[in-house]
Amino acid sequence: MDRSLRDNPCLYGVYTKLGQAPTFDRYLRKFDSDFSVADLKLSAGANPNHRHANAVTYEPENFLIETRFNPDNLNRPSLDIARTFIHELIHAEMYRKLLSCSRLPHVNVNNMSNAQWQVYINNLKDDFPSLFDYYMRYLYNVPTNQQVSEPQHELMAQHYRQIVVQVLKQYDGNAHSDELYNALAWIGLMGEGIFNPTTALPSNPSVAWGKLPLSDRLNIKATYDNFINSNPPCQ
Amino acid sequence: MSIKKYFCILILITTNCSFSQIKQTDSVVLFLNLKSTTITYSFSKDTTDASFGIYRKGFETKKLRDNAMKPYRYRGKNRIKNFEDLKKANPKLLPKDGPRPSFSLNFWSIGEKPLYLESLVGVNYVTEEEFRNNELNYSSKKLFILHKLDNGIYLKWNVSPIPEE
Repeated sequence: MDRSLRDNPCLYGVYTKLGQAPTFDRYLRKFDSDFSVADLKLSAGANPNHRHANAVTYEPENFLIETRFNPDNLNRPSLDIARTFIHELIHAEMYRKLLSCSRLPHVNVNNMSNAQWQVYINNLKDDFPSLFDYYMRYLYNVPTNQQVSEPQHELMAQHYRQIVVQVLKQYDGNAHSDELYNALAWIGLMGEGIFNPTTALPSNPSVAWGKLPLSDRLNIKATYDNFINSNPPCQ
Repeated sequence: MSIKKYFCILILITTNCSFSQIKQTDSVVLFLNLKSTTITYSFSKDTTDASFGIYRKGFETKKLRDNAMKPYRYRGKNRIKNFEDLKKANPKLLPKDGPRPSFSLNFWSIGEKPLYLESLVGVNYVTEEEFRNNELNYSSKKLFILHKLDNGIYLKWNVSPIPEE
């Protein structure tokens, strides 16, 4: 953990409390062992290309995956910040899997030789077929007229929301309704762009969010609004 | 009144004044011309909910945004349709992974109806250009978005950044 995060009372407080959530701890420990393919650095600071992002998890470089939290975006309830932590840890876990496939210090395919690319993509298909499938559908095999979306968010929206729910329940001892935990699990996974309040769709929605019935989407947004308005900010 | 009490009251007053000042300077009102081509917006049918996007410096036009997205698209001649195509692809031409650039600063209203204002007298606001050119100065501030309706009335929305992760 970087000192910048340790020196931030809100982030460090949420992180410390999350350590008592077994599911979060299990994911974190994957980076702990001497045999882990990647190190994880948690820090706090500005992300110049993503000024408004709550946090950004960067592609591995030199076997290091960095998650950087935005100290300007902490005027939210601590449960929402715990949600950001697990959301980013899932990104880090996906990058860890990709790194294990590349057998290189990075996963930047543009910097791979043809031989390295062959090893990487064969390993990805064999070792993590679900991750491969999402990368194929949302990154490599995208029709030219289709907007590009992020494969990791598409996969998370479809298959990891229950992990988010589990961590949040463990974080606050199941103090809220299932409706709230389920709504929180969608935050950050709805897609990108401005939000149409009538359809509850961003301009570039994720596939999973777009498939939800309109009434569910509107309820989730209203539940989140109510949560943000009725709980004190972490900082 | 004892000196001790006097100092306690003085500290309370000073603290309260500082707090008020922080509250004032910690928020900013952004005035948007909805006809501008460098913003996007959407309202609910009953106009009780809204969302706004302000294109960031360097991404104001579609051409600039399309250029910025080029590394995130496959740059080979033929579309990759299956695993065999993918294996044969030149890795230098494959789309870049990782977070895409944020083209716009996006906000949504959070369950509060807008305030109606008849005039802007006494309202301190920043323009779209000022906001775009100095976005770092505003990133930690509470934001209100102001715009004019066709009937001359102004709407002021309490907004939050749309969560981006």
